[in-house]
Amino acid sequence: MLAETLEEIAIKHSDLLIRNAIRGNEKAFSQLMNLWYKRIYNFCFKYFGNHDMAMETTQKTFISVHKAIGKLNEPESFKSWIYQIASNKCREEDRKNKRRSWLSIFQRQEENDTKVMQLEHHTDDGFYNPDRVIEEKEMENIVMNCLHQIPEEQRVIVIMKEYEGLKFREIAVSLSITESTAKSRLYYGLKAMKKQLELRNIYKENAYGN
Amino acid sequence: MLMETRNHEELMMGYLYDELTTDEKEKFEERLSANLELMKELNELKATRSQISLKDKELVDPFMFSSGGSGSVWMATKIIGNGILKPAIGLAASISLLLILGYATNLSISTEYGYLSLSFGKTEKVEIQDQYVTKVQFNKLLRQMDESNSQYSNQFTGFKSNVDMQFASLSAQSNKSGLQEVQKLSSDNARHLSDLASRLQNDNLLFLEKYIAQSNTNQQRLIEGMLVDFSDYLKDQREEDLRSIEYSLQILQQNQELSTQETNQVLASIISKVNSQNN
Repeated sequence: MLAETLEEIAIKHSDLLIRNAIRGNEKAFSQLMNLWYKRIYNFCFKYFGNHDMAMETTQKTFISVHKAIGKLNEPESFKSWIYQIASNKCREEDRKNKRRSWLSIFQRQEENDTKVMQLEHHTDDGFYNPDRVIEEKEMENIVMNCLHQIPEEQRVIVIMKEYEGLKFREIAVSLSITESTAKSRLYYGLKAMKKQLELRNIYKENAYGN
Repeated sequence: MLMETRNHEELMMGYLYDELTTDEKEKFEERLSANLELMKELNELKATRSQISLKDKELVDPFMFSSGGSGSVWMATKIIGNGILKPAIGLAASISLLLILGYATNLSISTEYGYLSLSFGKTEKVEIQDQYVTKVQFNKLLRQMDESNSQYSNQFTGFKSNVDMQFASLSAQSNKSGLQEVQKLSSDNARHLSDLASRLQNDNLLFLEKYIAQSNTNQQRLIEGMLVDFSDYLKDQREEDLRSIEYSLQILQQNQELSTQETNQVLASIISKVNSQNN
């Protein structure tokens, strides 16, 4: 299990900020946005696999959040609420950009990643290992590609659960479905991901033990 | 059958993500130990999870500009987009900054009198023509001087011809008394000439003194005016700087108060969590 970052702790304890933002405090909203911006961007990025679209959708999400936050009755449900807006915006943008082919998007993504690789010289152990960096980037690209081969309703739940760490209850509220449906979609989403990894000959049976 | 499958999926997901109650978890683990197929499926799902991990993308925190109320909000980030958007935003921000600075410092740019001039602070139109002797006035003065000189010159010429005539008549008389008369006249004429020259000199001197005094007064007035303007400008700037510092301090104080509130909340939450764990 990953250790919590300070940002994640701050997100967990942002009740006061949320209450102030609901009351119309712009400074509180600004701070709240700074706390959540990276999370929502990463959610959108995994949904689209494209930086530009993720940025655009993130900004639209926060514009909607700013407009509607005054109407949020339960500050406790802020997390589900913001993901609900983000997922709706993602779907909206996805519909608008359906004509775009994923191929071109991934080509552009690969270009972006090459640029990023040139900047990220150091690995976690502090040493630059170009092979390892390239391997990691390739794996990330493959996973992103797999993610976009599975049905949208499963993809969104995989992202929410696997990468955003939402509880099933929160996912159910965000997507206006039952907890049972959320669990079922995630089950099939993981199965579909396994299938995609197998198709690319990179599925390892005992990988979880590593 | 469908219900059973559904239940199986739900339990599997609940167990995989540790969201089962203790009771449910124990029952599921019993089933797992008795069912190898179920165990295999669970391990496959765990292996899939471990292979689909993705790192978060890092990005710079956005800036937010709000018009207040529930109207509109604009956001910009350092990596708001690739392509032309990024340089365009940079350019727009630079122009905006220049405009704001220009407005704050009352910057004015003009190309009067064939020069490009930049000025800061409140500018007042300085009528240079009122402060200096103009070309027309100067020509007029020169003309007056010329007229005065020609007048003196005429007088002098007339006087000279008069002397010549008297000298000629006296020469003709050619006697002693005549010579005395001539000497007297000559000394009178010399005195008269000297008076004339000194008057001319005095007049010119007075004229120059007046001109220089007038010019000095005008220049002094102009410099005084400029110093007063500059002093006002400095005063305005200082007041503005003080206001700006005061505003920044207020913002800092507000931020600190908010941060303190948040820190207290985080601490309280951590303490309560630790207490609950201890209990």
